[in-house]
Amino acid sequence: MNPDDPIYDDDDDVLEPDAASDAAERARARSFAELVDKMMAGRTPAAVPSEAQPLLEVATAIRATVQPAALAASRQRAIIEAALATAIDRRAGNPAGNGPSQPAERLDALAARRRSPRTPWLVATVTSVVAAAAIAMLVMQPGPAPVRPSPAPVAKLPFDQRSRPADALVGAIARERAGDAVGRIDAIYADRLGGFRDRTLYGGAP
Amino acid sequence: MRGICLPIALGVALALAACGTSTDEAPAGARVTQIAQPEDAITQELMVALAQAKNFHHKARVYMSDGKPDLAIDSVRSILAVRFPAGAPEADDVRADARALLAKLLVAKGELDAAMSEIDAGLAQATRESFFVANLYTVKGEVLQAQAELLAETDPTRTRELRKQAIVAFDQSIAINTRLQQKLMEHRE
Repeated sequence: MNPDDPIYDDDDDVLEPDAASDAAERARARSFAELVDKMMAGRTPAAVPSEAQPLLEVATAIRATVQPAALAASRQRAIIEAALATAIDRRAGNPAGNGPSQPAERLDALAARRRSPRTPWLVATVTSVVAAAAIAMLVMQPGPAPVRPSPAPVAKLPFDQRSRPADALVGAIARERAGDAVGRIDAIYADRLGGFRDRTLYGGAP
Repeated sequence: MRGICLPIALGVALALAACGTSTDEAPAGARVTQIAQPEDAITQELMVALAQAKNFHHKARVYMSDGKPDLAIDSVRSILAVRFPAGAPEADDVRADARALLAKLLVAKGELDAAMSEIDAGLAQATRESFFVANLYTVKGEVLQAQAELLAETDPTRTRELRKQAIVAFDQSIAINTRLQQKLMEHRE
């Protein structure tokens, strides 16, 4: 912006309403028109002369009334994505989720990631890995664990075929027979031999 | 979409197949018709042990008849080394009886302290009351009685003490015999 533009000429005289425009007036109008165009395009100069500011505000108000503001499609998507992300974060218990104030770059990146075509491939890859693991388990599965046959019920043996105390056989030992161990061992042996023969002859293991 | 569903279906099918392949087949060679052997059966090992003890007893009797008490004592000691099946009640009875006989042979030889040691060892190894344990107490009383006789003229006080101990030992034998007799009677009824 050149401060020497004719539009900023303080020495201008105000022309009569019906007076024909002169070259200076046309130059000022062209210069202001360019300024308005830049502002509408979002390229407002950093420094605007104070004389031009009221005119620009009037121009902005007039434009707003005749043409409603419309956001670009990418900007609309970014805002919607940001709102959805905030809602998801809150539902997931993340109160510090990214709010609407999220930077536009991040929102754009999020939207781009959601549109990414990698998702189906990711699902397919994970599923393939699971299938491979299942095949590996099938191939490497060890042989069946040896199953011990449940112990067969043990039938109670007859009394005389059982190993048992010899008290009932020898009875109380009288003092005069305290040293007669030979007689007692003979009796025990004979008794147990009878039981042993009965058991083995009837098919039991020795 | 078809490319995604195929691996998913394959993975699920294989996982189910892997989970369903366990088998309950018994290993080859396992016998299911084998006759179970009760643990308290009279076994060949028990019969062999009893036969050995029997033979050592007869051998000791022959030595005694032949006037060889030392060899008789050695033969009876051999009974204590006979291996019986673990937990066989006959083992306790045979060993207790051998200790009692050993003590009597030592008493006859005049070795009263050695006789008492055998008695004490036999009583220490007893796992239950039996007529054989009662017999050990009987022989203990006899050993104490013999010790008292030895000291009768030189040490009357000690003699009285030993006689009292002998009576206690005989009483213990009687008490055990009484309890066991009663138990056997109850069994028969």
